[in-house]
Amino acid sequence: MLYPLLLKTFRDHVRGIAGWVSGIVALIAVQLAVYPTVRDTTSRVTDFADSFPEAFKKIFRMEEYGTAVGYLSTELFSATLPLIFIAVGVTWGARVATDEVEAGTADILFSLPISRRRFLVTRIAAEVGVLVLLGAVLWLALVIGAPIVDMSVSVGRVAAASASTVLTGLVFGSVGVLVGAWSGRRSMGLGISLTIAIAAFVVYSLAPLVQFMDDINPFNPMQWTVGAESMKRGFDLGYSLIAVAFASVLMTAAVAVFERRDVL
Amino acid sequence: MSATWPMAWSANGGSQPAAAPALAPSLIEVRRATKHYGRDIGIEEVSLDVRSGEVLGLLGPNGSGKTTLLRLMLGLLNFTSGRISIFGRDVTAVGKAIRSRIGYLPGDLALYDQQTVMQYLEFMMKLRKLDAMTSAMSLCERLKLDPSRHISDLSRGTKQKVAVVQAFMHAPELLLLDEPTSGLDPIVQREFELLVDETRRRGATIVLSSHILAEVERLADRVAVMREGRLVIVDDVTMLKSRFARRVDLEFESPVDSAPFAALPGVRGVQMSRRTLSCYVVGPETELLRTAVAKGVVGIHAHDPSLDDIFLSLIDNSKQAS
Repeated sequence: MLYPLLLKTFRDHVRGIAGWVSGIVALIAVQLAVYPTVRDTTSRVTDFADSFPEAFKKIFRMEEYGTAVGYLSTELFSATLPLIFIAVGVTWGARVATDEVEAGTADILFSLPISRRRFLVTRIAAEVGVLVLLGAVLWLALVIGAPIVDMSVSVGRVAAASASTVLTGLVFGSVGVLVGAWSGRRSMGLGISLTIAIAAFVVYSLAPLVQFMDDINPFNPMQWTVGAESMKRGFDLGYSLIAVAFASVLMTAAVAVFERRDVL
Repeated sequence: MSATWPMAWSANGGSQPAAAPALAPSLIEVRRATKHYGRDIGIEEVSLDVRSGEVLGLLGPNGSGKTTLLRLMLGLLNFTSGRISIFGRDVTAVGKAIRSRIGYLPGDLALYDQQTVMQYLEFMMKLRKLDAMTSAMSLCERLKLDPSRHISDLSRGTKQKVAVVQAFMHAPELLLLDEPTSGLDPIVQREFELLVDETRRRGATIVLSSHILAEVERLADRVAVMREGRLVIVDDVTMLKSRFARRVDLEFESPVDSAPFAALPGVRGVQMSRRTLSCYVVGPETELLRTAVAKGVVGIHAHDPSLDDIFLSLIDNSKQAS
């Protein structure tokens, strides 16, 4: 690990990280602020939720909406937070191998006695670090905020759901890392990984309705993370290990590709 | 500048790459190094030896392959074929160990704009795992570079000074400098030349590419001329000059017949203008002087070819050959 590079990476992006932290805290604050209204009108909310078309309820996993767990799952962990973490993972992932090259600073950097492998591992560590930090912020905001609005949720379940959300960002971020390392272009890393993420989300969402998508959904990274529904069912070790293995393979491939490519 | 055509005469043809004479051990060995970018040629079959302790000037027009050659030496690019060894070790096998002994200044310079000069230099030192602060500050002072300034506020020339400091601060054994004086004002250019001279005297080896022929002439022991990815010639600056035609002007009290001069071996381009006979000579001038004295010469002016003449002549020859 190149610690000076790691520190510099965090320092260079401190404003961006602060922005994501603020956004997540604000989102959770708003959702928690609304929760007492939902809780106090459970029967009406349940009736309202039941009035949605069956397909819609399946797509957004709208079960037990009136309960704290159901509310958090539907409002935060089924789509909004995973999409935020995918955005973070993909934007960071796409630039892991590309920003120094595109900025032209790679020439001097790679003329130093550092290996490209260590460089990329350090940059990947920075990306993972940011995702874990945001996951910790997410967990902490819910753990601190929930009692304020008399919401009763298990700290462990919130941790499990936060971890799954981090893994969502990591899995799609690793696609960005690989494409960026292969192409040398951030835009390509961003474009391809976002396209794959959207496709994965569509397959995951429509799986309860379309048989073909249900058949391929076990191979869908979105199913390994969001589909584990950790807020309702607790941490899914099997799916999580598959997600970590998938991200590890892609990032290892990225290192191998990056070591062999020209610095242009 | 005078017409370049007579410069094409060289004592030995002058267009074949010359291997380094066995004066000092080779620090860099380039063997049939080839780099293609898709269908485009970066360099083609370049073979070259750089001796320990010398300054080698790489000359060539834009796109001639100078930067590609330097980047291959650093392992920034992969070879299409061929190899380069530095300090006796293959650059592709042990690049990291080699790079610890190299200072590099790229042609397309980019630094970290969000840092100050001091932060940048400290960052470079940390990645090199060494403390060269005293040397870095001394270089900053010498180049009149304020280390507290933000890089984003610096002009192109001042950024170039930062790059010079980072390349020299750890007293590397080998310096690879790509257009090092680009953007520097004349005073700093002079300081840079002194720095190169001192670095050579402490035993370091320097390869520098440049468009400024006069600069290469002042700094380099040998010159390698490249064109369209190929090495046109490598030679000592002095030897290179001696192998190309010198212009000689002979003054007489009255016009003389130019025919006897034109018939002399090694003499070309004879022209009589009023009382002055001008010609180009390759090799010994004995016969020319003997004939001139016999004709009553009253003044002799010999002009060594400049590197500009030689460079343009070589490029011209190379174009004709291809």
